[in-house]
Order: sequence, then structure tokens, then C-alpha cells
Amino acid sequence: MGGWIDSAAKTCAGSALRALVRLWPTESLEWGQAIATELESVDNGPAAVRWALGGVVVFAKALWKSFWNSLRRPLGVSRENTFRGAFGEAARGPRMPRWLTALLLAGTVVLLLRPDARMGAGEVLRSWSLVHRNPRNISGLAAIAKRAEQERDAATLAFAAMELGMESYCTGGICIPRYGAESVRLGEEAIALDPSFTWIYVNLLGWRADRPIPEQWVRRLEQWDPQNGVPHLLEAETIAREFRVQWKQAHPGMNFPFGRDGAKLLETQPAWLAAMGRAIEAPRFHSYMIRHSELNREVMRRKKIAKPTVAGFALAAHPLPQFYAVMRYVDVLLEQAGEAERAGDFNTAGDVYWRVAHFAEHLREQDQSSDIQTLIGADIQKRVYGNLETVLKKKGQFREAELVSYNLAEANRALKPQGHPKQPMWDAIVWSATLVHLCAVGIVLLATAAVLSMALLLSPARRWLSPWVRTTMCYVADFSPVLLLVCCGAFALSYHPFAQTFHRYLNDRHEITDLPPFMHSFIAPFFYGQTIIVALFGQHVFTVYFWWGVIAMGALVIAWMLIRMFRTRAADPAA
Amino acid sequence: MGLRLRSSPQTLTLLEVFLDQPTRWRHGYAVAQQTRLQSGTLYPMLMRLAKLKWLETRWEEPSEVGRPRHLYRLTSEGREWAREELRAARGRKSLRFARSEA
Repeated sequence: MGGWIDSAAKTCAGSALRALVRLWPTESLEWGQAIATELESVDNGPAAVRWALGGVVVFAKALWKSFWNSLRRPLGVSRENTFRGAFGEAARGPRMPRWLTALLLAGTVVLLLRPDARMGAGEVLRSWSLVHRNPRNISGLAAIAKRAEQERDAATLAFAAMELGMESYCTGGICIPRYGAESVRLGEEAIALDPSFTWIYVNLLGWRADRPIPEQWVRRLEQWDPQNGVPHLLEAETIAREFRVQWKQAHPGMNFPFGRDGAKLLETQPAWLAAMGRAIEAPRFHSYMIRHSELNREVMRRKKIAKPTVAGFALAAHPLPQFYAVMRYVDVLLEQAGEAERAGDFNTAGDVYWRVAHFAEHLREQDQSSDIQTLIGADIQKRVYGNLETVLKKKGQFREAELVSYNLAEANRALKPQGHPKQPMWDAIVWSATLVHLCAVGIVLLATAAVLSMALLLSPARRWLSPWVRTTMCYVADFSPVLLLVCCGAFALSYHPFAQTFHRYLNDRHEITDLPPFMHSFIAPFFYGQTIIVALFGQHVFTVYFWWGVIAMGALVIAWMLIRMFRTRAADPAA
Repeated sequence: MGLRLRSSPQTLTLLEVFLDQPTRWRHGYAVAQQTRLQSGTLYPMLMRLAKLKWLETRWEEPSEVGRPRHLYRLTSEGREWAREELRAARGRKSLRFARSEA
């Protein structure tokens, strides 16, 4: 009994030591072999096992020592090989010690692992790889929505309702909202839990001409927010759509006319005029973009969704009111006022002009969440103030006329593109976004160069290369890690303002009303990345994966070479 | 160079074994048995002694009985250092004994 156990233990110990000898570092291989050969003299099984365990300890120490010693040598230069031996007639061998290369690569990894850099890398990758896909895609959103349903978390449900079902109808990074039944279900649930989210109906409708507008949604919006002109505008849009359908049925084969002609037809509809009148007379005109932004901030902060493109595109895709209808209705009012003015009824003309002027002020001043709304407000002011000034002068109200004249000049200033006060900021955002992507391209190219050169230096294939290729590889292996670190530093620095803007957006304690700068900052890295990647590689979705494939292959080759480096055949010690 | 050998009790035991018939070549397992050291402790010490050139090593001549084994003995420099170390250790021991007696 004891005999075969002893024998089995000795056999196992012997096999283990022979396996270790095969992996033993060359510089101390003799000692590994010495331990292995001594095993034959060990008396019994337990002693053999203890001897083999001691061998494992010695092996581990030898491996560790060999690793540290190897760090002092440059890549591709083994313990036995001098530079000449390893690189033949190459003009220059690798000079950077491995420890320094490892330190530089570790520094690169540390820089890229920082949360802001990770966020930047994620944004850049999304930009490069999603030329035709939805930039608002949030992984695990369905699970977040499910959990919110269980926790009866109305805010998250409202967020999920607007973010779900956005994958369709995207082209060139621009996605037009198209919400499915699941979005509507979640939205209804959110509103049932907390009616203050009733505004999300506006988002779920999307103001799209090809989608029906459920009447009950419009009614609920009007009841919930009667002081706002936007729900009334929605009602007017419902009436206009119905009228257009009826008109098309009455005029088969014809399209409903655009512009002034279309407005002339709509003017015959008292219900449309009444709804538009209520929209313009309403004391407020809010598109709910700020509410949308506040909801996104809260949920993204709570759920730790660090994706600026999600926030940016949510704002960019926020449905704005039908300003086309607004402009046409303003045309109608201005014509009415003009007729009254020509008839000498300055009081009526003045009243109508004032109505339009107040509405334009609401558009510009009450809700600055969208540049378009502000500019349309300024445009209406420009159109109405000139006429109003004339009427006021005719009525003898010169002081009021002077004030209106001042406002007209101010509206004209706002409409001048060169005079936009935020222009330098837009330029800075564009250049910063371009720099982020240039650094990212640099990182990809340098990482590829570093991996390939290192793989070649470690590979026996280096002997087949011509001397100048070997020399070039040596230069690349020496300098690419330094340049890679510099590039990563530049990437982290150039993305830093974007990351800070996003953190400020998420964590600001106050309501954020001036949204365009944030929106541009969140979207710019996405768009400019696409521009660069398309310019460099063409509009191919899988370009980026090719580069990652090259790097992964290089990394595999390096891993294989490292394993080979440590593998030494257990030669017969006496040989 | 930074390579040092600590005068631990294990080192002193090893040196004592090597100084007993100093010119004789010894096998690793025999040394382990005499010193009662495990292979994981013994071999790093042997490797360090060899690195310091205080231990010479060689492989046995190939024979019909089993594979050749590794052999060790102290070099003349190593013997000198070992004697010095043992003397110093004994001195330290007697000093400690005298102090405890006092």
C-alpha cells in the first residue's frame, strides 16, 4: 500500500519538476535541473513532494528575478545576445530599457483609465463607429426602465420613454424621434405616477407631420398647462392636419399648398384661427426643452449615465413647436393690421401689432433654451416693430415709438450672424473637438506602430527584415511609447473641457436655461469625429474595428513571444 | 552589486556542513538532509554563494546509474569567509551568554 503511494508521489513530484524545468529562465536553468535530478535520490514519497514544493518556490524566485533583470534590457535583446548579435547589421538597435517602455505604457493606460478620459474615449469610439447608428443608444436602458416600473420611479420612466425606441430613422448621426408602443406605455405610466411629467406628450408626439396627434393628449396638455401657448399650438396643428386631409380628399391628385397660399386656405377655418389666437395670446410660450433637460440631468446623474452625446442629442432632437404655422399666423395678423392701418383705424392696427410684438417677446425672452426660437422671436420683432413705430407716431405716441425703434435696432443686432456673442465659443468648441479626434487618431496610429514594432523586435522574424527596416523598427519601438504617452496626455487635456462641461451640466444645483452652449459642447465631439474619420478612411462603419483588430493581433503576438521567451527546453544537464 | 548573504542560523548551519571536510564535493539532497533545510530554502542560499564565487559547482560525470547530479563545495575564498563568519557568530553567542550570566 505504502509502496505505491510513495511511488505515485515521487512520479507526480518528478513530473512537476520536469514541467518547471521546461519553463525555467535560462540564466538559472542549471539550478532547476539540479533540483530536478536530486529528486531521484529522495528516499520516500512525502519527502519527494516536499522537495518538489521547494523547487516551486525556487522557480518562482528565479522567474521573478529573471523578469526584473529583463526589464533592464531593451526589447528584443536577450540576456545572451548583444545588440550586434540580435540585430545584425542594423545601424541602430533598440535602446530604451524595458522598464522604461513598461512605465510609459503603464502611464498611457493610467491616463486612459481616468474617468474623464474613459468618457472621452467612449464618445470618440461612438463617433467613429456609429456613422449610421443611433448616438443616443444607452446600454441596459430596458433594464433601467423595468426597474423604474418596479420602484414606481416616474422620472426614470419618463426618461426611458423618451430614450427608448430611438433606434430607427437615423441617418448620418441625425435621428428623428420615432417612439414605439413601449415608449408610449412607459410615458403614460410616468404621467399617471406624477402628472408633472404631462409635458412628455409633446416629446412623444414629436411634432411630425406623418404622425397622428391623439386628441386626448392635446386636451390633457391644455388642462395641465393652460397658460402655455405650446399646447394650443398643438391643437391648431391637429385642426390643420385634419383640414389638409379633407382638402386632399376634395382635390384628388393635388398637394396642399405651402407658404402664404396654404395659410390663406387655413384662414377660412375659424377653429384653427381660434386655437392659434389662444397660442399667441397665452402668457407663456415654453417648448418644455428646459424641463426635458432638467429631467435628463436628474436621471443621468442618478443612474450614472456618463454619455454627453445622449444628453446632447436629446436636446437637439427635442421637438420644437411648429414655427412654420406660427409664422403663417403672424402673416395673417400683420395683414389684418395693415388693412386696418390703410383704412385709418390706427387703434385696431396698433392693438394687433402689440399682440404680435408681445408674442415675439415671449418667444425670445421667456424660453432661451433654443436658438431657433430666439431667432424666430427676433425675426417677428423685426417685422412688427417697424410697422408699430409708424402707427404709434401716427397716433402721436412718440415716446413709445422711440422705445419700439430701440427694440427694432436690438432685434436687428440679434439677427446678424457675425454679431452673435457666442460665436467665439462655438469656434473654440469646434477646434477643441477637432483636437480631441486628432489626438485619438494619433493614439490609434501610435499604439498600432508600438505594438507592431515591439512584436517584430521580439519575433525571430526580425532576422528576415532588411537592415533599414530593422533600424526603423528600433526607432519606432523606442519613440512610439513616449509619443503615445504624450498623445494620451494631449487627448486627456483636450477632452477635459468637454468632460468638465458635462459634469457641470449634470451637477449644477440650479436650473439650466441657456442650453445651446451645452448642447453644442456635447454634440461637437461626435460630429467632428465623424468628419475626421470619413475624411481619413472613407465612410465605412467598420474602419475603426480594423485598427482595433491590428492592435489585438499585435498584442497576441507579443504575448506569444513573451511565453516563448520564458520557455526553455529541459536539456540534459550533462549534455 | 547589492548581493549579500545574511548570517542567519540556516546559513551558519550550511557553512558548518561545508566546512566539515571542506574539499569534498556534496550533493544537494545530502546537504539538505545534513542541514535539515528544505529545498526552497537551501537552493537560493547555494545560488547566492555561487554568485559570490564562494561556492563552486559542477555536474557529475555521466554514469550508468541514474542521471548526473549537481555537486557543490566551498571555494578557498568561500572557506575563508565561512570560517570568519562562524568565528564571529560564536563570539556573538559567547558574548550573549556572558551577559546573561552577569
